[in-house]
Amino acid sequence: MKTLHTIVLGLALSTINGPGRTSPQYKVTDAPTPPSKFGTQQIDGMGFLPDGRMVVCMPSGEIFFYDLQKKKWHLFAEGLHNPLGVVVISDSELVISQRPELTRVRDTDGDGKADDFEAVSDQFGMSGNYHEFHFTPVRDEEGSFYFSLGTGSSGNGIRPIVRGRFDLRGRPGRMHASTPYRGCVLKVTPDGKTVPYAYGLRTPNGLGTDLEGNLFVTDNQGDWVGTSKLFHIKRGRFYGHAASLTWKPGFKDTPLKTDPAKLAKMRTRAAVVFPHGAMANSPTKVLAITPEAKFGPFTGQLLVGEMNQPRIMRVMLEKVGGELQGACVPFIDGAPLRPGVNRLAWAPDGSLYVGLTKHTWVGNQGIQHVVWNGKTPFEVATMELMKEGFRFRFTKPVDKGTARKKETWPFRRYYYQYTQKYGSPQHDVKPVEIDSIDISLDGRVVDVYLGELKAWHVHEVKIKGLKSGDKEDLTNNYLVYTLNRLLSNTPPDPLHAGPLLPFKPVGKPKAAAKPTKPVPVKNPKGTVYAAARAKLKGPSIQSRNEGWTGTGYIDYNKGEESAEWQIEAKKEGKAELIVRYALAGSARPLKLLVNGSMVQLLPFEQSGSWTKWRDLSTGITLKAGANTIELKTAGKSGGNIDHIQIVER
Amino acid sequence: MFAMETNTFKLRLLSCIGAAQMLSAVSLSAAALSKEQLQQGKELYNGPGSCAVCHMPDGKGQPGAVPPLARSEWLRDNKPERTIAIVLRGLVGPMKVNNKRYYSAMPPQLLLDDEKLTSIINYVHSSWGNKTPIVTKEQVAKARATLPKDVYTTQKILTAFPFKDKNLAKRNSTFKPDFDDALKDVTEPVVYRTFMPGASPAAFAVALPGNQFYCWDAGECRLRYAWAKGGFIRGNKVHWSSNGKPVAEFYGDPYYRARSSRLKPEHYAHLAETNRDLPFYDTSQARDFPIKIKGASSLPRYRGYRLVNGYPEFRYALGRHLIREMIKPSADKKGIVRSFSVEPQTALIFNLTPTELSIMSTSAGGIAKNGTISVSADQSKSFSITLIEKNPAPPLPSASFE
Repeated sequence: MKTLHTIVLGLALSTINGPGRTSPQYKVTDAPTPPSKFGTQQIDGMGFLPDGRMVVCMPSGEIFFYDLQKKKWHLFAEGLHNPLGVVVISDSELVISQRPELTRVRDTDGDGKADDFEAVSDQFGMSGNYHEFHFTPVRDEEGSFYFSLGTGSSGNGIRPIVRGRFDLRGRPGRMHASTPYRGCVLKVTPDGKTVPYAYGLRTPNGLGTDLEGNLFVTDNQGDWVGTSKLFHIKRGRFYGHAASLTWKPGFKDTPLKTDPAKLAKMRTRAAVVFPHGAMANSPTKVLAITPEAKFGPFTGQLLVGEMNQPRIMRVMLEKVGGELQGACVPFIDGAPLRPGVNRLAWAPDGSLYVGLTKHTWVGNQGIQHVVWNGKTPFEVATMELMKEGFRFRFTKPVDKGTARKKETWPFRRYYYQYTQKYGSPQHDVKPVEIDSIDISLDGRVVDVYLGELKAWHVHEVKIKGLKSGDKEDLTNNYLVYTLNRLLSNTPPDPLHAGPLLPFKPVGKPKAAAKPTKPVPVKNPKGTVYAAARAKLKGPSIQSRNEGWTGTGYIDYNKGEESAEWQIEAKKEGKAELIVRYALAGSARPLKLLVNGSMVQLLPFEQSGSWTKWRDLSTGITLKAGANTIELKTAGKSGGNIDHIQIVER
Repeated sequence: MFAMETNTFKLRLLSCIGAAQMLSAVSLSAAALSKEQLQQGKELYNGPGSCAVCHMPDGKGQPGAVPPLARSEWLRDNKPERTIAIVLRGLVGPMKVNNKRYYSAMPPQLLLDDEKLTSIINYVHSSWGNKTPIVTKEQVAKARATLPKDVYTTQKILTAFPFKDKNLAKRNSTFKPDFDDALKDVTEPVVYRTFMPGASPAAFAVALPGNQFYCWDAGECRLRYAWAKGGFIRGNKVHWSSNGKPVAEFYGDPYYRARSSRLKPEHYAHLAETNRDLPFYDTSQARDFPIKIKGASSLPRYRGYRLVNGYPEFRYALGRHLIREMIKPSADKKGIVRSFSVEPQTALIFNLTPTELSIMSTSAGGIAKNGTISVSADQSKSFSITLIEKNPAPPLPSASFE
């Protein structure tokens, strides 16, 4: 599974030509990394204390503080379980996400080290599947906390003892939610109650709020997620990944037995989609550009990290028909920024710190620092929907000559299917004709009128050859607008649902094997030595598969195992060894040792099934008296061996 | 020389698997040893201050601490010279034996003459299922005179006497030790939250000074098991530095294991699995919480822990009662003392799991045969339960070349 993943990713990566660049007004440098006692540099949580020190959480369970002036690291806490995010409460108090809990970590005696770890919430389940991450808490103005829970992966199963109620309905599928609230956003109220807040997420690695306090989360492409997304999270809503419906009050069905068209009606569409491969494959943290941030003329917009490519995206949203939707664009892109951008935080001086991670996936590690030099970059400041097209506001006046040309604006549109399948290709891909172009007198606003605006379709453009009035190239020209709703007369959501796929149950108890009875040895050619007479190192005697003789057959496992018979020969010389065996599937050769010496590798071709018994014959040399015949595994398991016969000549 | 005298030596033919090429190695087989010679080797091996102290009389070593000799893959590729070199010069450094990690040192055996060493080596080479060719006194004498004088590192011994078989070479090599591997003598408490076998995924692994270890399960708010032999968990780094699949490993057998009514004996071999379709049970069904308070809920709520001098003090609620539990090593370092306090105070019943492997006592009076302790409201303010391992491991002789 994992290997397959790697190959697919590798292929995808090799075909990507980064569509973005970093404007020369932003400088990316490497920052010092914490002295983890385990040597890791992966950063899974990042924030700043009121006193200006940086906080980082590491997969090793360590939390460090960093004094940017004194350039000194300080270990604050350790022993935590994969902390994946932090909310700073004070210089001595943090609230962190870790696998089993939302935890308040405090230094109560003022010695600079955490000594109290209070469970703020452990009111959610853990099947023990590796993919059940617990991501990034955020806090609202009332003091409520929100956190998001990853689903489990079919890349592995679950543990023998699970925490919280197990529900088989949520167990099947590529990504599963067999215990409460996997795939959900949870809220912890100031009085300590944990409530499920939103449903339908897959790998929601990155909660964040905008300046108005709207809550957002990213999700990763996969089953039910045609391409990676940014969702505007609202209470009680369902965002599309089916597994977590197991835990939605009132949903009594098995999610994967439910028609996707029915689920599609329940779901809230993404505010922004990130086209897979081109824009993002694993979006991460959402961070609003605050008025205090010194990061250019983009205050109020969102930054979103990306794991697979060296990229930080910029997201611009607007409210249309009562819901948020908008555009994304690469922003800080390409070397020296490295891939693995997982966490983002504003330093007290308004510059941006970036934490990198990988967790065995594509990514990197370490900390990077992005500083804006105060000069205006040439970028699209906003992309807004108009009645019949899009309005682009630029940070600088554009060169009107190029902006006026229709071929500068190659628009296309498409949609992603809503399907249980892993990801979706782009459907109904069509170029969009440019009707006309208007440029404002100051050259900062370009209105592009399109031949058609199609609701519920992604509209993207790669602005071609556009320069500023002072002949600077547009830094980032690839803009993707998720057009759900029109300014007026939006048609109903066509749902774009795929078909219901065949249901593959998990955990059907295997039918108890019926005891089988022995059969007599037919016309033996020589002396029969039964399985029961062999000295076994590893294998066991079994009788599930009928057709065996004596008291059962030898059942090998993987690993170094052997069965050894003591046999008697009347005289020294050549003899025939016959091995009765059954083997389904491909050949499983065994080493034949006579009197401790390797004679040959016996091929043991498949016999057709575990109940089809067959004889394999070979010549051996024996000495007079006692001899040993040993059948040893050779790198894999062996077939089932019923008995051996020795035919002396 | 022994072999020559017995007059029964013979040639062994070894062949490369899957290849027709026959390679002839002239070696002397174990059958060449007389009973007396084996007996002499056995006596020396088991002699005072000799091999058996660390490698144990059964040759199985001590899990996590001393590698086994019995069925050691280091003895499997017919390089008896490697054994001679290790015994004469010692071996230090992180090493894998049969794909298990060891981080220990073996001192050179300076006090034994060629004949005695030969005897011991041949005993090891022919015992417990080992079939390594035996060695001669002359080989030992020659090695003593010619081998480099330094103690071997794992890297150096493998360069001098490499494994031919790729698979064996991989399973028997050196490795880069991480923090866990180097943690031999615990001097201050170590607390990890990680995946532990036989616990819910919300588990703690704690090491206490004096090398007492326990697993506490926040999913069920109780001590799961305690152990001392074999060292602390291994592989925690593998857990978090990968994508989080592996479950921690440890080598000792718990001397105390709290009962789980939902686990059947046949489940025990599967408690470290991560690839199951279905669980054995979920914690909403767990009815084994050891403390019963009349009128209070039977399912506890986990509240957190604080560190007092590094020792975690867990807190959990049963109804309106807050229970605190701190676990420290016993005074004799052969077990643990669990200290409890309940607030508000209340009479309660505490159910210990009786076991033959430990000696139990409590400050709250007696323990019934079935493990029940009746704690009065007065006592509930502060009471303790002591669990001492009945057969603790003998202390290892210190041998360090670091």
